[in-house]
Amino acid sequence: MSASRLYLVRRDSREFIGPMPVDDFKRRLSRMEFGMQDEVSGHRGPWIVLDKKDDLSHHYPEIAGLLGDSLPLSWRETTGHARVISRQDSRKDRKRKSSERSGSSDSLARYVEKQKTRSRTMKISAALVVGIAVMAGLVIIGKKDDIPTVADMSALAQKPDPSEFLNVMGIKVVPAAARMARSPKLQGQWLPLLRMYAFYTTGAIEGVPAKLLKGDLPSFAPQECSVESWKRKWRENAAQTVQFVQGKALQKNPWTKLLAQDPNWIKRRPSKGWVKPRNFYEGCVMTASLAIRSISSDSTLGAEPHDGVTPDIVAAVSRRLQNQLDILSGNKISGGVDATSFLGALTCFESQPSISDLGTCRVNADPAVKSLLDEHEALGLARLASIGQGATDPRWTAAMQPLQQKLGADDIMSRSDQSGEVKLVGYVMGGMPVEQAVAKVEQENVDLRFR
Amino acid sequence: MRIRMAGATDIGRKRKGNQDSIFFDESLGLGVVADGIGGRKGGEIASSIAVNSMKKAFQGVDMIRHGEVNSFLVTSIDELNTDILARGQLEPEIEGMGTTMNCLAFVGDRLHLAHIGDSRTYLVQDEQIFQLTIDHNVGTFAARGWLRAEQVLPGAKDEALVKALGLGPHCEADIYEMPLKPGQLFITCSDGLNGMLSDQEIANIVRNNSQNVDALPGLLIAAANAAGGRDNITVLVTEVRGN
Repeated sequence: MSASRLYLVRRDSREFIGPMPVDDFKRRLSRMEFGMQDEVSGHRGPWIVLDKKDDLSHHYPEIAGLLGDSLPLSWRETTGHARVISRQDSRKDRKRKSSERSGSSDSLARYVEKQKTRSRTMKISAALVVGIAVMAGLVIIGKKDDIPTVADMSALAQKPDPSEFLNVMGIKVVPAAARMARSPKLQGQWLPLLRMYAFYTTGAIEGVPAKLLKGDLPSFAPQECSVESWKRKWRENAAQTVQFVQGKALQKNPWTKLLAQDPNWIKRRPSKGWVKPRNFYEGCVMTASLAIRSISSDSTLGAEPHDGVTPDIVAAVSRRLQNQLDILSGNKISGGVDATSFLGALTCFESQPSISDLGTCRVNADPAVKSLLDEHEALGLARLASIGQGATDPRWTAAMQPLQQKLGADDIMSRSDQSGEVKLVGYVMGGMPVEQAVAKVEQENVDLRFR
Repeated sequence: MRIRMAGATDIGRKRKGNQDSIFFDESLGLGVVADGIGGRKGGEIASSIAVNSMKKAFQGVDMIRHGEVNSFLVTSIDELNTDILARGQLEPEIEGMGTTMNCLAFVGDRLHLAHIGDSRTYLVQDEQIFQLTIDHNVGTFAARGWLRAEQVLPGAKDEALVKALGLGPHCEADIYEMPLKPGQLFITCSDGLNGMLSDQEIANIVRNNSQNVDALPGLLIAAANAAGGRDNITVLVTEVRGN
């Protein structure tokens, strides 16, 4: 082997950095381009997580030596107050990174332009948050360089009005978010709060990978749910989405999958590592709602003329998202239930309080989309059963029997796992008392909460 | 960046059929290697669906940007997994077929790599070799602490797959990104290669023939066959060249 030994880093289980000689490794580590939770591999060697000292010493002593006493101060400081990067420095750094990147290919230049746009959006959001706080007369407590404790921020997060939480996070915590995201200890403490900040603003935080905000979820979950990504997905799938909104075809794309999703399914699955929203899926509805607001004020409605997007289509999508949020927050359906449209019928099945009310949701639908309506009707009946409504009513069984098969183990559109709901229906139809059936399903599916 | 691709597949010396599939197209910047799951009927059909689906998916887009590639890969893989399951339901004799897959998409100056199963992609740079992908099998998952002993069926072998396409409705591929640099060589292969040759042996063959990319797949396959050729062998070599 002629060259010096090279090391390759796998960052966030998704990106490779290197291969690089040890000096370069040291330099990049000190610039926090990767962190202790990331993995390193040498020539023909295994992948070792950097914080596994013994394994690292055994396989890559050269790297282990770097991480000993010579570990940069910022990496050893895993508890206590984090260093705050000033906004000015942060802007300079971004500028420098952009100029470094812009020398490459056309597609990369487009990527850089997109990053700049995103950065501008984030700045506008931060400014809005600060503006809201100033208007509300809020006072920011503490010295400028201090980061509040996790306990302080968790207490703020519990308040019904998120303004103060967003304000303090935006000014005092988010500037250090990239560092937190790369330190396992800090990440564990701060991730739920970073997620809350992200999904109440733009769905993204600079320096925090989208995959980290998302967490470890099955493949049916959207890859990313930032406001910018929703706008991009709208543009890419506009014609398909129009067909779906009009109830003409079950076109599958991230927007139609989201619009088809039963918010009760989301509600039943609060996730560890999340405060508000309760999980990634709820965060996606929140950011899509922000995106459609932005799209509605765009003169092109975020699409090409031939895509067929009209103000009515955007309004229907906006209303559907608002209704999903209404159901998620336990509020009444904004504007009342309107089952005359395809999306309105979905909301109707998701929200009506009794079997007879559910009957009003059936619309004369195009055969192409009937399967989704049937599935939502079955989900509506399952929901009613789970809250003790109707399962003892013979009409429930009569309505559910022809629909039971429609309730597959996976959602028709998003392929999300509905096996918990399927089991519940099976138990109830088998004669098990509802309370017992709910308890049994929750016991078998520890992450599922029907009530 | 410009890339040069060369690939080949071989039945090996012990198997009666070849269940591997390969597709590569420099103009698309796409390379796919899939290994139909042995012991299951229809492995060759599953691997063929995998490479053809990815080919069609990439042929169907005019332009793709960096930020869109990963989600495009995830969606395409999700759809092809459904296609494999649907085909199995239509033809009971091949129900349960599955396949591994490594899909390399070269966009601008980055590689986007989707991986599921135990086919591998290596990077060879400056005569040093790095295995980029993690084998999705019992042995690797157990060693990484991702699989507890009680989760493993009694008698399961280390090489038994934990993840593959066609095994169920949910499939989560690993998606990686990597900046490209002239001189890099990516070796993507089915386990018929790395099951017969050590990483060092692969690195040596590549080092000794790095100026002849077109011949490399054949040379690696010949070496695997010389070592026993117990399985089908597929090799795709991608060389990164300057602009």
